[in-house]
This record gives sequence, structure tokens and C-alpha cells, in this order.
Amino acid sequence: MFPGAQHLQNLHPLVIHFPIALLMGAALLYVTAWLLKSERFAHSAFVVLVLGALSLAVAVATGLYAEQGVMVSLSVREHLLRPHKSYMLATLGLCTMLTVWALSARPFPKKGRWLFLFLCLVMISVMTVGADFGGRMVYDYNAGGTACRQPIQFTK
Amino acid sequence: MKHVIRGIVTTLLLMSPVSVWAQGEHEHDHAHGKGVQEITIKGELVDSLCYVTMAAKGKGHKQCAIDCAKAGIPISMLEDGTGKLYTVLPQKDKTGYPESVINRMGEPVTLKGDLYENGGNRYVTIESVE
Amino acid sequence: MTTTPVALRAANRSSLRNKMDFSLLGFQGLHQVFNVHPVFVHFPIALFPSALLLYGLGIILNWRAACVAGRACLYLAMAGTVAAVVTGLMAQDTFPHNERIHHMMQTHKTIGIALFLMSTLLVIWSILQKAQRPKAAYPFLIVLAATTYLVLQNADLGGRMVFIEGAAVKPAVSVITGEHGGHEETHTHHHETEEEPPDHQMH
Repeated sequence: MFPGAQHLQNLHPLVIHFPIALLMGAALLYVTAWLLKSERFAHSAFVVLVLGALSLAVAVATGLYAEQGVMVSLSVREHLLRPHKSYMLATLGLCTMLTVWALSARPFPKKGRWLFLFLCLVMISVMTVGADFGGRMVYDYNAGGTACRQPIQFTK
Repeated sequence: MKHVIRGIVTTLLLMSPVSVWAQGEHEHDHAHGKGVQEITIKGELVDSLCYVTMAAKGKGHKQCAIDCAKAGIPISMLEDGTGKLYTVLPQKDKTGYPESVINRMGEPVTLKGDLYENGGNRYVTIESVE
Repeated sequence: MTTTPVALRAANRSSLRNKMDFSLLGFQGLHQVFNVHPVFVHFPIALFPSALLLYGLGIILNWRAACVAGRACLYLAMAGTVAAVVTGLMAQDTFPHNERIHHMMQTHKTIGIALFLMSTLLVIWSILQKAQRPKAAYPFLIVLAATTYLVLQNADLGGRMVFIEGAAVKPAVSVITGEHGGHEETHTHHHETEEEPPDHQMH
């Protein structure tokens, strides 16, 4: 049914779309809820945040599994893969904290709302930087792909 | 006197298989004594190219490792704990790696074989892989 | 090993410099990508299945909050689809590609435009709702499921273009164009490549 997916060396490229879209969506919905003072948006944001957190956990797990076997040169591992991993683990930490906070004061914490929103934006920023490293591995070094011969050495 | 001669001849005849066996053992010991030793290594079978140039290993890399081995890229044994790499060789000349070994690429295994060292490189012939 | 505070601080700074190359920060990846289409595709790929899940739970279990969240996901998915389609149309002529990639891209584009139309229909349909539940809820779910399937199918096609054929992958340009140079956007002529992409057999 999905021939491309069968060619993939691991699941990580399939699942990463979910946390990127869902966590950004959650942040956008929370900001909208704050601006419009809307409970409905806050509830939606909470659900999307929880889905995003679950998908992020899966993305990180598949990434850690894929790390050993991915075919990129040692220089690409050092310059791109290692920071990608660091940023995504940091994102996971922030996301876990925010999700637990949101769960305890669902759907949208009243105390420390500013801090909550600020941390949402920090989480999105950290995730975006980490995703950028991931994108470079794919589009500059064909990580996980079979279109080019490996290894391809890192160049700035 | 005849009994003595008969006894000596019988003893010599009985000792000859023993001496052949002992000779064989001696050669085996002699060969091992020349820097060849039996070795048991616990670790992972990796394909040399992907591991050395890209540090790729593990179950996530298994299929690629199998494809590389079938394509002729040498298999290495990565020892647990020490990170030492041993080039894996078949036992006999003009033979390739057995399928049973190739299919274990990327998995934790225990390899038994003979260790050879030459110019700082380590080689091990496959006796068994479990 | 010295343990004076000054020496320790110097050692810690040196250790941090060894672990972090700050010059790599910034969105260089965005600048170097041939196009920004890959940035926006995440949204329809993730949000349509999420909308389907939430609407499915909401409609089947009569769970209003799930329908609300599903609607939010649907609207975000539609916005993402618009962005993905627009950037995709802008990107189609920006990177070197061969006949095979072009052929795949045409199908990818057609499905993308169909997805835009279907998502527009779904958004309008979702507005016709009572207590957050769309009218003709089960047909709505079926159309949403079909849309989600098409999104995933199109994503698979896009993934094949990138990971297997090397579309928009910089080191694959020479493989795609056969190192001839000057053969961008080969829409009509058959392109003989010196080095065929060896599919998944190569390393």
C-alpha cells in the first residue's frame, strides 16, 4: 500500500511529522486561547498537546533506535546528528514538563500562564532548530536514503 | 629371547598410532604456538565499510549489513566492551562466508575461531557462531 | 590534573566548546534547501490523521470535546495543505530532476490539488454542525478517512522522491542529472544517466 515506507531503513522519518505539526499546532491554539480568552480553544490545545507529546516520545524512541544504524559519515554524525539528538531530547524534556503541567491544571494553567506560554514558545524554537539539523541530514547528506553513495563527508 | 623381541615389536606397533596422534597434537599445538590461538569473542558482526566509515551497526542496520556482506564487503566482529575489531575469515580458501553467518549480521553473537595477528591487524576464522 | 577554580572554569569552557559548535546554529538548513515545501508538508501529514482520530472518537463515542479538537486539527490541516500546495507549485521548477522524478512529481501535484479541494469541502462541511458534530457525521468521517488516506499516499510518494530518487537532495544532483550539467527540468527528453540510482542496494 505504501511502497516508499517499505524502503525506509527505519520508521523515524515517518513519525517525525507528527510532533512537529502537533506541537506547533498546540502552541498556536494555546496562544489563540489566551488572546481570545476561549475555553474551547484551550481544550483543543490541550488535546493536541497531549497527542503531540505522545508522538514526540515515539519520534525520539525511533530516532534513538535509528541512530546506531543510520548511514551517515562520522563527520555528519558529529556535526549534525549529535546536535539533532541533543535538541530533540531537550524538546522532549520541555514537552513532558508542559504536558504534566497542563494535565494537572487542564486545559490551560491559570497560575503561571505567561510562563506556560513562554515555555511553549521555547519548546517550539528548540524543536525547530533540532528539526533543521534533521532536515540538513536528509537534504544535504541523504541520511536514511539510498539515492547517493555513502559516506558523504560533512562540509559547512 | 624370542619373547623379548616379540614384546618389543608389539610395543612398537601399539605405540605407532599413539605417536601419530601425538604428532598431530604437536602440530596443532605448534601451529597455535606460532601466534595462532583459539578465541571466543562476544560481540556483533558488522560490515567493515559501514562500521569503520559511518559507525553504523545494530539491528537497525541489519539488512544493509547483510546486503554489504553478500556484495563482498568483509565482515568484522566488533567485540563487546573493548570495541576491538576482528576481520572475520572463512575457515577454508576459495569459500565465502556461510549464509548462517551472514544472516546473523547486526545481532549479538558469540564467535569461536582461530585468531591470527599480522602487522597489527586481527583476523579470526569462523569455527562457530552462536 | 589541576583543580583550581580558574583552571576548572577554563576546562569547563573548553569542554563546552568541544560539545557545542555554535556556528552551526541558525536556520542554514532552510536557506540551503532548494525549496521550503518540505517544511510545510508536516502539517497535512500529521494533522489529517489526528483530525480523523479525534472526529472518529468524537462521533462514535459522542464525545464533544474530541469533535472540537478534531475540528481544530482539520482547520490547521487545511491551512497546512494550502501552504504545502503553494510551496510545492513554487518548488517544482527549482531543483534539478530527471524524467522519473518529473513523472512522480506530476502525480504528486495532482493528488495535492485534489487534497486541497477535499479539505476545503471538509472545512465547509464541518461548519455545518450541531453540538460540534458535523451533519451527516458518518459520511463526513468516510470522506475524512479518504482524504487522510490520500494524504498518506501522497506523502509516501513524496518520500520516495526524496529518499530513493534523491529529489532536492544536493549530493544526488550529479546522480540525477548524470553529471552532464545543464539538464535541469528535463520534462520531455529521455535522460540517460551514467550512474543509475541503485535503489536500496547501494550503501
